[in-house]
Amino acid sequence: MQGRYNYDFSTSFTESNDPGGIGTNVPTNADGTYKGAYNLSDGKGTDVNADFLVGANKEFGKFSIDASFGGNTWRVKNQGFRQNASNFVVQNLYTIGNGSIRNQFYDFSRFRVNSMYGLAEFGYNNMLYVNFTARNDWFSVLNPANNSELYQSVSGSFIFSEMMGEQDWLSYGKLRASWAQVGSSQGVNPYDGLLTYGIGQNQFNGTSLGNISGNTAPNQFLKPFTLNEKEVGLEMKMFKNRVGIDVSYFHKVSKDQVLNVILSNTSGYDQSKQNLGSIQNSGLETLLSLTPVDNKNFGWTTSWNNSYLATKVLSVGAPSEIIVLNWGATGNEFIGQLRYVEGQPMNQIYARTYKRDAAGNIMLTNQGRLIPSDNYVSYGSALPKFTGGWNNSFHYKALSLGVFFDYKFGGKVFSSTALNANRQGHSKQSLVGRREGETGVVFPGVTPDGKPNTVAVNPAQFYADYRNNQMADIVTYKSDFVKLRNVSVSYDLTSVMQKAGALKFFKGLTLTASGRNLAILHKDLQDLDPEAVQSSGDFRVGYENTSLPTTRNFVLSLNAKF
Amino acid sequence: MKNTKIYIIAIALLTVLGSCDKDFVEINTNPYALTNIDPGLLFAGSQRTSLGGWESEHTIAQHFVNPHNSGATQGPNFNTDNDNFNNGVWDGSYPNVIKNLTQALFLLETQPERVNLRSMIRIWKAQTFMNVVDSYGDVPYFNAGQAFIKGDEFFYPAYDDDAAIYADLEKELKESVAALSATADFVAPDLFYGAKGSIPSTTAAVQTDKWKKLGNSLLLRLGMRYAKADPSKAAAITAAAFSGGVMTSNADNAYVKFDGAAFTNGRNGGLVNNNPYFYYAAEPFVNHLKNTEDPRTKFIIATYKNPADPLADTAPNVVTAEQFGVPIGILNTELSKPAYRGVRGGGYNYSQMNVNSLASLTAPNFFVTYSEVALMLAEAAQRGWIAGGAAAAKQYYEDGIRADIGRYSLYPKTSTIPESDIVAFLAHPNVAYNAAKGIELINNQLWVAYISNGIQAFANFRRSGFPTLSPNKANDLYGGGFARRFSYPDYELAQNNANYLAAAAAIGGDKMTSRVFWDK
Repeated sequence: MQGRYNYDFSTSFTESNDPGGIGTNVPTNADGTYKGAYNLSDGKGTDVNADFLVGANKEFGKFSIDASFGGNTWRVKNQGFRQNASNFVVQNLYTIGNGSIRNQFYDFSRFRVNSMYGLAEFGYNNMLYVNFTARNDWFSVLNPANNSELYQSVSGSFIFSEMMGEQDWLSYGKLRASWAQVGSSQGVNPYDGLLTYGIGQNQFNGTSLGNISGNTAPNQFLKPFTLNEKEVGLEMKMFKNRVGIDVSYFHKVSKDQVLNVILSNTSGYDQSKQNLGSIQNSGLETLLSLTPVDNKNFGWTTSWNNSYLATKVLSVGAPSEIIVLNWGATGNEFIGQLRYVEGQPMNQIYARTYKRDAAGNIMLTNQGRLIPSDNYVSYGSALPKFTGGWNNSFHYKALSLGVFFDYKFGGKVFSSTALNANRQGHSKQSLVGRREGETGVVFPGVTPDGKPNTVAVNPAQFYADYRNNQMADIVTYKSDFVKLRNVSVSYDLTSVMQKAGALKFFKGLTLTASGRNLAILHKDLQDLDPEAVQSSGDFRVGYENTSLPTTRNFVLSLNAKF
Repeated sequence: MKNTKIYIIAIALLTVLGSCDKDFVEINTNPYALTNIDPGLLFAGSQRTSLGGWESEHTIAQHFVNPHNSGATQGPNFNTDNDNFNNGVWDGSYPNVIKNLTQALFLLETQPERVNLRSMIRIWKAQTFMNVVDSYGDVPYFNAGQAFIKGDEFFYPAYDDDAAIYADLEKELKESVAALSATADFVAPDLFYGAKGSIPSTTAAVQTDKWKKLGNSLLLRLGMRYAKADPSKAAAITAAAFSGGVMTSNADNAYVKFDGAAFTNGRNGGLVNNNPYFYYAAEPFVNHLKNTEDPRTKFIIATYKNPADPLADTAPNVVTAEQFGVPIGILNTELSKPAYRGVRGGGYNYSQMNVNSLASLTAPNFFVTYSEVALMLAEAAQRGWIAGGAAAAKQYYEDGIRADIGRYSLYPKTSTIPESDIVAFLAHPNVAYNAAKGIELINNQLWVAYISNGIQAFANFRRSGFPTLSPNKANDLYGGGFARRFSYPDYELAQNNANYLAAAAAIGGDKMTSRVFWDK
């Protein structure tokens, strides 16, 4: 029998200045007060997690049963004050009292999740196990008519090597399978279902101004989302542990995921949270490890792991495509949209392309400039299909060497750095049009009269058209890469220490030199590191913008045990 | 013993189960949020609608120009279709004004006694939609702004035909003006004529009288739009508006003032904060002011010692004869060559908008003025749509000019123009009214009056064909003519794909040369 209570309390206090000289050469505002702002925030939060578990286990000969039952409550509350002051009376004095415009805010939110669950495990002869679980969650953030969700799972594992007795070639083998449901209210925040209003902090010439808060149309009918996952796996260690194999296949279908659907702003609102249809992820993960050489003085082990992921959007609510991220949503993407499209892999990247005539030729204006296609087209999925690595470690007496490669294949990316570098003339691509003997870009296409284009266009104007027309043809790359990730060499000085009398108290001493991110052996993205993207979160994969060069790291370390 | 333990656990279970979502309704209610509001405040928050931008409407109407063409600044100044300059009216109307006014009308359904607030909201919503239709043509109207009220079928509204929208706007204006009642509610939050408005009043009688005039003045503007497409309809609507009673003096103007502290005039921020050396007055406009020796010139444009820092010059040159405008369609790199006036300070040797008066951060914003009403009545009288003929036209024409000159007293750092100067101006050979050139003279004066209202400047130029301007010859992206509308925002193609494509087909292509229905 077990009960636990966990209480977390946090506070934060921050103050900051916005200096008055940023982005301006005039120190005063239109009313004679000084520019600059002072911001203060003071918040606290509590997070309580309490649970209990009651269990029993019993053995009947070769059978065993282990069952338990429990419940959990999770309660979170956050509140905080924020204040800011601007339009200072006295220059360069950053404090609330000095501001002729002051704004105050009070933020408050809380939610609670209550759960009940049960687990049971049946075993036979330490060889075969079957597990059952069931759980019901109640979420406070959801509509009371629909705030409870029940999920179950069943899984089993069979260590078949026990049944086969002593074998030379197989020392351990396990087969496992599971089917599980998981759910959550992820994506729904407290108070989401309600439309709230705001009154401007400052009156307009003495009149209070009101407006609707935010630009999200509230949805009070949100349901929790559920995930169904099936998994099958096989693990074997063979030939006196010289060969190891671990393979597993999984298939996940998520339903009713809560996402921000982007609306037409003519509806008054920019977005709304909706339970979308369903998305399927399936994949195969493999791990193969070998120890080809294992002598007294020299040894080599190598392992390769790979995961193959296939995604598919099964259905989404009407209409049949949903824009997940749009141009300019965070201010740094200069091209492209991310969409979920029914029947296609997730995260399709969309942009315009060249307008072509019936014969497939690229159409240009009679001044040689680009014409965009009428509609946006898909350039493929941004998510990679294959991810994995190859690890090798060698040891020769006291010296060891590790070499690790990793890779990703299969995703596509729009490079905003290339888009802007082209129109500003910083990229190799933008040299076309400025080379020896050229007076401009003569793009291979046809003019409105059907004849091949011969007009030379100023390169800055020509490449700026890709951005103004949102055409991604020359800035789409594969996000594939193969990297030499890590090389490390270490020397074990323990035996040396043991021989030197005075230093015998060292029980272990190892000197290691290693380097990380050593080389990019293969990539398609021009000029940049494919991993230096803004974030690897689901909704941002596919955009590269303003990324910085990545660094190599070198480390020298000494590890001592006393 | 084992049984008792099981029973205890079972009972505990049942009690816990039954209370698993107790208190959840209270927990999920924010005790500090505003879940209800007086719709009058929503109305007040939505009254400051877009008046168009310097680099968009004012550039097409050739008041103003940015001669630089470096990708991001490429817009109507070089006949280019660039979302940066096309989306101003759209982004300024749907996401806040139309959303809040629609919600306010929804809240008023349970408060039927507030007829005046409802009429004012309907009038202002009609004003906003008229600007959106004039800027883009077919736009979402009947189904707009209702994502919350009506739910997910209204997430992606269909576009409605521009002529049909105008017919409904006419109906809305007529019905709401008729519904105003001197004995019903007084709308205190009204920014124009409310308790603390720009022209304050204290009773419903006075306030509704002003709103009747404002509503009919908007109806007059709407009627005048049909001048090319359907002159008989134009005649009928303008006559109805006039007989209903339009504005009669500057004391009826719908405008707002800015205190310069929490609120500044957003139209003019860019002129002083972002690289002022980009922004100049355009040659056709400056030449017109010089050719007519317009006394308002010293408040409208000025020559600063350093165009890159106009605010540093407290006494700029405002002598009318010494102002020069940047020619249309000429790239900035050409301006430093001998054929043009060359560089000065951090910019070029040309006049800029006067950021101390007309284009100041504390300049007021005028939405509907008596000066434009009088000039429109002059045109209506000249065309015989209202009584009085050429004589009445001349009277309205002069009243309109006087009113517009008088309007400048509300701008910062201006002085009263003496009566003798006004009389001399009205007698100037290029200004004095004559019936033969009446329509042209009237619309030239509207062009000058609309320096404070870009949307109307662009719309009236298209409607009347005056002043006579030459198209921007920098390239032929507008087919050798002028822009006739703004193109739909790029994001509508993505978010409202089917309806966008249908609308683009209906208007003859989503190009800046397609025409709004009244622009024949």
